[in-house]
Amino acid sequence: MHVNRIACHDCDQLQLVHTLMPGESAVCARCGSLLARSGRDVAERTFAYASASLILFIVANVTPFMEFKIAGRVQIAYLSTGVQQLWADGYGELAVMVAFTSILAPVVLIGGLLAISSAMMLRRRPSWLVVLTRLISRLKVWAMMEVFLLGVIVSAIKLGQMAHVSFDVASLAFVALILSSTAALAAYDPAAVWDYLDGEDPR
Amino acid sequence: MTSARAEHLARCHACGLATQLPACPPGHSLHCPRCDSELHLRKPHSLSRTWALLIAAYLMYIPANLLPVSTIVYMGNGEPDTIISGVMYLFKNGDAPVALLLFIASIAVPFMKLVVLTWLTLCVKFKVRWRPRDRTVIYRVVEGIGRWSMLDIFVIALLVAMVQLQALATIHAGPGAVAFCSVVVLTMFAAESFDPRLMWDSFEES
Ligand SMILES: [Zn+2]
Ligand SMILES: [Zn+2]
Repeated sequence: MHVNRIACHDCDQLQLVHTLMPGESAVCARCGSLLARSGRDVAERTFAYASASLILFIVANVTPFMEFKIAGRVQIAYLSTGVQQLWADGYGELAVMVAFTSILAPVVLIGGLLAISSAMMLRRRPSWLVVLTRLISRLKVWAMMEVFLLGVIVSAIKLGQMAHVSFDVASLAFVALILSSTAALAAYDPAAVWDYLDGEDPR
Repeated sequence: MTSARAEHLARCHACGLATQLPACPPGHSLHCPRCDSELHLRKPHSLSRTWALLIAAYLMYIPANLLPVSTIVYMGNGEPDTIISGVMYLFKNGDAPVALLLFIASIAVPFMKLVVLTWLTLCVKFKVRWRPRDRTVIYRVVEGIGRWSMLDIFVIALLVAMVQLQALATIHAGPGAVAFCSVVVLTMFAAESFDPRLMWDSFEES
């Protein structure tokens, strides 16, 4: 059995961790943080959830998201309408932040997971794999689709006092997108990619 | 077992590989053999970077709470709302669960985050040894919860998108929203620049 020497991310304690069986995880003895985990079929499962996420992302962005009816008038909003309106109102900073956290970071994250898992399944080790794996780790906190969804619910309740609000296809796709991208991130394990880049077979 | 630092091992912040550093520091920077990130025993200038970001966040916290975050123009009359007045309005109009949610995301979490990060940084500065394991858990929670404060910004973006019925009613963003958004981003960067391992280092220095 192979033994790895791992330094804890949170407290720097050096610990010896034997090669984990699929489904096992190792926790730091000193501070309790996760040291390592081992998933089953990391590449295949990440690929499956990430490709579903990509399709749902496209549907969520090109079809109408919400409808708002007041005094006989109907207002249709797309996922990106808020960004355009904030930009038009002169709030470029807000438009950029909303676009980055609700559209750009999620799509790069999904596309990145798709590219990494494809490379692993095809047994390729292209030079961009290292850069992309590092980028994905940093980008994860900035993809805020689930916070955005909560914002959709809150704003629908707020507007519901004034007029009738109904949800369109894109909102359903968006909910499914959050579920599948969460599953993709849970299936994905950066440590498995680093081991693969070290020359091991994909787990 | 000891810490990685005591063994002159640097944990790569990007890929986690522990790499042996030479006993005497070379003049140039060292890079991870696996992913080519720059290697450090601790995040460089962790405390001063965290302080700078926290002070900037405290400064932006003032306009974030004093300036209007959105203005509802209804039948030609504008009604500006600050974060607090928006939450108060929802409480009075019987939407207590939504008001509570916005209170937590927009008022409680940013404030808690500033106070807790300041406290954690002070603890490191004064080499406090109080319950490092609990402080590590608190740090993890604070780091993970910060993104939920973007809720109010998304609500404003969605309201602005939905209510554009020129003559009847429109909603516009306000300058307070920009300040609030910068508080959220600055505290996220502050949490990221804080190195939790510093909390454990004081146990080895004696
Ligand atoms: Zn630990
Ligand atoms: Zn590395």
